[in-house]
Amino acid sequence: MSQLQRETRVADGSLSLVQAKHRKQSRIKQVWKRIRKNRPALVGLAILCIFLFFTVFAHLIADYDTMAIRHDTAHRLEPPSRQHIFGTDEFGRDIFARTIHGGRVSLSVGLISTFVAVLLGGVVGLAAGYYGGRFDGIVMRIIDVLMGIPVILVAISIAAALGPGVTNLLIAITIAQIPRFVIITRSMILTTVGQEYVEAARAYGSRDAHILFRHVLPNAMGQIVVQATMNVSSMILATAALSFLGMGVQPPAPEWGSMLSDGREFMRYSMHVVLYPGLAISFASLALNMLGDGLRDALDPRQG
Amino acid sequence: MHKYVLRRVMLLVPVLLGVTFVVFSIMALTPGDPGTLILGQNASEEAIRQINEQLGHNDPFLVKYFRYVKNAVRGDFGSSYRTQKPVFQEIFVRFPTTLKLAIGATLLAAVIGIPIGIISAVKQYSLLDMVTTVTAIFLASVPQFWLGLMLILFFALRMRLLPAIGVDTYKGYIMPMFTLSLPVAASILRLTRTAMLEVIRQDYIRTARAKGAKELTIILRHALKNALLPIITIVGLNFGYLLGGTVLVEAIFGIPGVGTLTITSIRMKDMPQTTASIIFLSATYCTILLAMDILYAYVDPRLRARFAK
Amino acid sequence: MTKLLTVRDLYVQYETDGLVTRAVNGVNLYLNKGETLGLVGETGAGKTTTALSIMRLLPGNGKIVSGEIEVEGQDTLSLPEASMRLLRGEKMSMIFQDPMTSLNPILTVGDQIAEVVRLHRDFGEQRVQQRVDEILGLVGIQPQRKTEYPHQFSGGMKQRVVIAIALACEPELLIADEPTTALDVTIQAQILSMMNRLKRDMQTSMVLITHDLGVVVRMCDRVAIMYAGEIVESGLTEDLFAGSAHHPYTTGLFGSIPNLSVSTDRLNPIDGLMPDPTDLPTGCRFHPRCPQAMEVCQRLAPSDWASNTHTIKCHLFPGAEKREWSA
Repeated sequence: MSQLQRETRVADGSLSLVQAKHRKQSRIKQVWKRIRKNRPALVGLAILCIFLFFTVFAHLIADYDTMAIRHDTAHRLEPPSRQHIFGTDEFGRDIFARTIHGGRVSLSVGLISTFVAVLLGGVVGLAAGYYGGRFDGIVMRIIDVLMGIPVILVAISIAAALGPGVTNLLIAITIAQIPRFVIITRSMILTTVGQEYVEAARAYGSRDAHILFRHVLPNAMGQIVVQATMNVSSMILATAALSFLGMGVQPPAPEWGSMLSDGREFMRYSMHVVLYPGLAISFASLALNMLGDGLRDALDPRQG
Repeated sequence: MHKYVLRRVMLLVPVLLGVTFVVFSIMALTPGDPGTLILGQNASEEAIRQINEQLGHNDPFLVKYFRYVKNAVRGDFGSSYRTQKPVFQEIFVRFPTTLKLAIGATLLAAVIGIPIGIISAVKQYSLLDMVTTVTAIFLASVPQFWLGLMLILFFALRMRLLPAIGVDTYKGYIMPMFTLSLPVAASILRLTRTAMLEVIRQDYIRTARAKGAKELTIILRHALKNALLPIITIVGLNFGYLLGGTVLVEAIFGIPGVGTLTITSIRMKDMPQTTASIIFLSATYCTILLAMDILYAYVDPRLRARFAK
Repeated sequence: MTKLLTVRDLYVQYETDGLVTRAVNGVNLYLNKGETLGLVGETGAGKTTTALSIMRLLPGNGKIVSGEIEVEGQDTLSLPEASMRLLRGEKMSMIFQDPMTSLNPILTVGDQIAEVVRLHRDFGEQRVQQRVDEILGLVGIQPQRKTEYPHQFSGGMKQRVVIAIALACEPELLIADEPTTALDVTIQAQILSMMNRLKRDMQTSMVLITHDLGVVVRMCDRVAIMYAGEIVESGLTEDLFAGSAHHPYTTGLFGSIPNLSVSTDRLNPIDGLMPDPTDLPTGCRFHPRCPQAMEVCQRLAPSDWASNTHTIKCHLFPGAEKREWSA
């Protein structure tokens, strides 16, 4: 397709699908190029891949039942060795195995809850920002109230009310994060809706939904991806916090937070019991933050 | 200005009402009834039913809610399922400790974060800047409760410098305060840096230079004062994060504050206590947010002007 | 008589991410006491960079590569920063293009004017305030308004405040970078006549940067036309407007002004665009756009042809034969 054909617009003001996809692909390539230059972001991405590798293939690397669950009282609280890279816990279970299996919970809860929160929060925020008026007013009042309760407390209270278990944990954390995304998407929409190219689109007759998808969303998308990435990091921390308090994942299933609370009483002489799960949480969260930072810089139109 | 303050204070009331509604509704989802929770599973059905009647458990939801609010306004947040004592009393006793911790941590975070953020911005791309940025990202990613555990490990158990548990002396406050404040300090640092970098690019800074003003004056008087606006906002928002964090930190350090109370009452399924504790913490957060808003209007004459009429 | 300002062979460049932008390439200027010199050119010609270099207010990635700048006979490029600061606001002031963003939003207008007075004068606070009131009156703002904030003033009033700040210490040299471009045409006229009046009363000399030839006629004694970081033509205002010999660029500029009394179908812009300062043409910088370009123009950079007060840098006017190969 020639350059001229690419630029020619079809009568109703929209580009044909092929042209649109071409444009989107080159944008992604552009962002990717910028990220490649950002070293911390690459480090974050690398760490994240390592985590993903270990958690996805956890079953193959360390058998769940024999290593993560089964008690082996003969080998309690052993420091790191060749057989047990991270050592063993108070029941003789291999900490490395428990860490990578625990990672499955943390990462999947983090990803799923962020995805759902972005979706639900995003839809509400989009509607509130775009249509404005009374609906927007009501939504903002509700959000004001919800934001008046510290996020962790919302999660804790929902988890407390629903009871222990991973699903309840997931629900609690997701709901606690929704208001944040409502605000983010709403302000994104408000800044782009005010722009002149939206007015221009309206002027040549595009319908609302069309404007939303063609003009508003692509611009907001970038910011939302950044926020979502950082958010997965907070979700991982929140999951660990709630499990630490005893809500969420129940024994004997491993989870980073509960491993910390279990290991606490032994930490004086067996530091490894709390060191490694804690490092796991920290690095997972760190990787996502660095990646999110890098994405934010890469998407900033003023740079480069 | 006064009108603005008054209006914002009055807006606090519906927000607080909303907060009580949300918390109340969430806690109402808890399975179980007061009777069983107070008397235990083995008590007689009759006794259980009696207590439920007494506490109005079988009334419709909204009736229960309005009764709760009506009593709350008079200071009666119900009695603890566990101790039978008024819930508010217990919170009241513990509140100063938590408040000391939270406000101390916030101030510490600001004192650490803002100056380093300024220096980082002024000396952008220097070694100091790189080091602090990396450290800040790291601190912001580390889970608070783990940080607390590690601090206890090194400073209390290994080096025996500070007490591991409790706040009998002022020393007991040091580690919990640092645990709470370091992630927040990291966040404040990064924001200060970004805000300062943004402000330094502005035209009015160039005007100040053209006047022949000294660099230090430009940084402190012209740049920082303008950068202060988003910084105040972020300090306010982080206070909420911090208050939530007290729940975990108090648990780790064995501090008798509202945070540990919340956790204990959750474990004991002590609904009135839990509800009141969370409402109380939230109310504190809302008040601080209000204070930040007013401070913000005070610093920025453009906002002041808008609400002076 | 020493000239107030002399700029000799100034070369300034910016460096970002390894890319070098040659903003100013061998500029020669001078300003006599009491004069107004107009510095004319399109956006990107290097006018602001020249001005910032005189004030030594270039941003971090800007660098004065070579050249000399003298203010009242004193070499300012070799001065330490502390001495430079004493000069700024006191001996030489600069006002910038956009009044909307030039004032600090959270300080009162009076405060911002007082700041420059306090920096350079050893006055007691009362005397400082007196001066603030004085200067506000001179720019046509009621002194009572000094406790107000910038957002409470209109664009034109803001620019008056900016001018007040610049003139509060009665500097010898005022550099005005497109001071009225961001304002309405009617306000423009007011501000310009006010500036003329003040300039006369305080005996300040001015470098006025503009792209508007109408402003030049009103305000300037002498003019310099800038293109791609070089002065291509300079002289008295009469030389430029009434004379017959001109640099092709100047001819193009004047030709592009629409004539109200003649009806035309099309405007007459100069073909092409200002060259990319990171990739300047060889020889004469203007040759790709010049309707009278000759073969020599792309090989060799032209040198100045001077006649009395009028200088032109073009091969059509052969200057002193300096075999200068293009940089």
